[in-house]
Amino acid sequence: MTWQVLVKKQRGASHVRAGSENQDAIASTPDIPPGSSMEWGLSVAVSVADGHGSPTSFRSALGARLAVEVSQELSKELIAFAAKGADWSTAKRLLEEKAGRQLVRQWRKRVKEALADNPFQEHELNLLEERSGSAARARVVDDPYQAYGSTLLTAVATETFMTFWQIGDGDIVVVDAQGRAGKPLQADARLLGNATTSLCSADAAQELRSYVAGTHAPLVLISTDGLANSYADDSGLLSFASDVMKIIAADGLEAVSDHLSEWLQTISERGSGDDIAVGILCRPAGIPAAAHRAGSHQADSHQIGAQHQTGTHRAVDDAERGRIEEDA
Amino acid sequence: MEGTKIGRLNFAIKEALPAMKDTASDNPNAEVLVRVVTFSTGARWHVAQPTPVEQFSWSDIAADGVTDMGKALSLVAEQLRMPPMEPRALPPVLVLVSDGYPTDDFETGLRDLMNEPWGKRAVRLAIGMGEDTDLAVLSKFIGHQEIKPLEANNAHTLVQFIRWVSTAVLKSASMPVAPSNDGQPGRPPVPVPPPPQPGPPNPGDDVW
Repeated sequence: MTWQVLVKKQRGASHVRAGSENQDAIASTPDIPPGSSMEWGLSVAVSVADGHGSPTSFRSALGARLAVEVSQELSKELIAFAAKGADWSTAKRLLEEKAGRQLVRQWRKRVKEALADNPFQEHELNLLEERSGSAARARVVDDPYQAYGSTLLTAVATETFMTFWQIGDGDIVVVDAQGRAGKPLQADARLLGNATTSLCSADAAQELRSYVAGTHAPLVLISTDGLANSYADDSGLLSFASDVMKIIAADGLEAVSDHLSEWLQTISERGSGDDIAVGILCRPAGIPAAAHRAGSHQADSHQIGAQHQTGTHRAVDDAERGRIEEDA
Repeated sequence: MEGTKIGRLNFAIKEALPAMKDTASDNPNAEVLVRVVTFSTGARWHVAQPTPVEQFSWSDIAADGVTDMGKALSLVAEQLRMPPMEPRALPPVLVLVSDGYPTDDFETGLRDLMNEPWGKRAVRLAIGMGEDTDLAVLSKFIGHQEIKPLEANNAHTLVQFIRWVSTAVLKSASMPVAPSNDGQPGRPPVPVPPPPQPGPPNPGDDVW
């Protein structure tokens, strides 16, 4: 087996306080067996989605679940291509030519089915009107997809290529064998603050950003925006991804799995307060474990784990909580 | 702004502050910073430093001069540039309170504001005090057809509106939710709850 995959979902601190459900979703290929958070595979894929959670998007938790389902279907297609010997250029063509349209079409189809099974209830619409006004109610009745609004991100790693795609905010970080972290997908300058493009937008298919690479980094971290928004800037997120690889090098992915929930809880509490869904795709053979295990690195990796558990990790300490400036 | 009204505005802001602080403290994941621009003949920072709401106190402002609203918007625009603003932040809430017609180049000020990404992304609300307010200009500032300027025609209603923007809107703007516009331009970046219905004036209060 080449790849190991880990998935975790953490309810946001502000959602815990408000008593609202976790609106993030996560799914993987292969499926994670019950009672576990990890699995191995020759090829793996993780999708995460962040339901908008606004009063308008009152069914966005379901929208996010449907999003990861349809994205995993596309992932399986790509994995099947790879198994038949297709290279990265085939994957790139498939993504550029049809991925956006396919994902949005399939998502809308499932939303439509879900809505037919369970039409909007009067109390849902009344609550929306109470919170956002009658115009918001009219908009959702006219365009019910808004109620299910969600982002979508997916990372696929096969034996011959890696590919990533994304609609809306959230982050995909790749860490190379030297521990250097970077983001392969081009940033969308329009996504300022909590603004995001969405699967429910009329032009959602055109909003798909994708990237295909023929080479393999040993670690990919994929996350909804609750993680990155807990840091002042991207350096905090990149540092988190690099630290995760150091821990894997020292103690294996199991060590990350053991502590990730606590870390994410702390990060959400001290940072954005938002839900966080995180997937880690890891190729242990590509991680220079010996180098990381040598000398003080062993102690370092434990230290990093301890820092994350206590919420004193530098990046978290540096996190500037959301700012609102009220000018009169 | 005339003297009686400015006194009522000072009172309304002081009255709303405790509720604003309570609202902010309910959400430890958002750091609420407050600053204030005043405008009459010219515009100036009344509270220049972004001040954590828990440390914020209101010092009264006085009425004098004309209504240089455009200059005020340009001042705000300067501070919404990146930097000092950062790409990762919750949207600013801008509340414009006025009782008159701009006496300077309002359009230039608005253009300065809307040229800044955070100016465009700000939650912009406006309160007009009395019948002499230029509501068309306040609507232009808001820039969203579903949100109308709030018309405060007596002291009681002014308190209601100031309290609403300081609590309900603040709460909505500080939640980690994606915008209600779902990426569509021309809509507010956060869900704006419906404003309170204006109540009758308190006995003995002037109607503006």
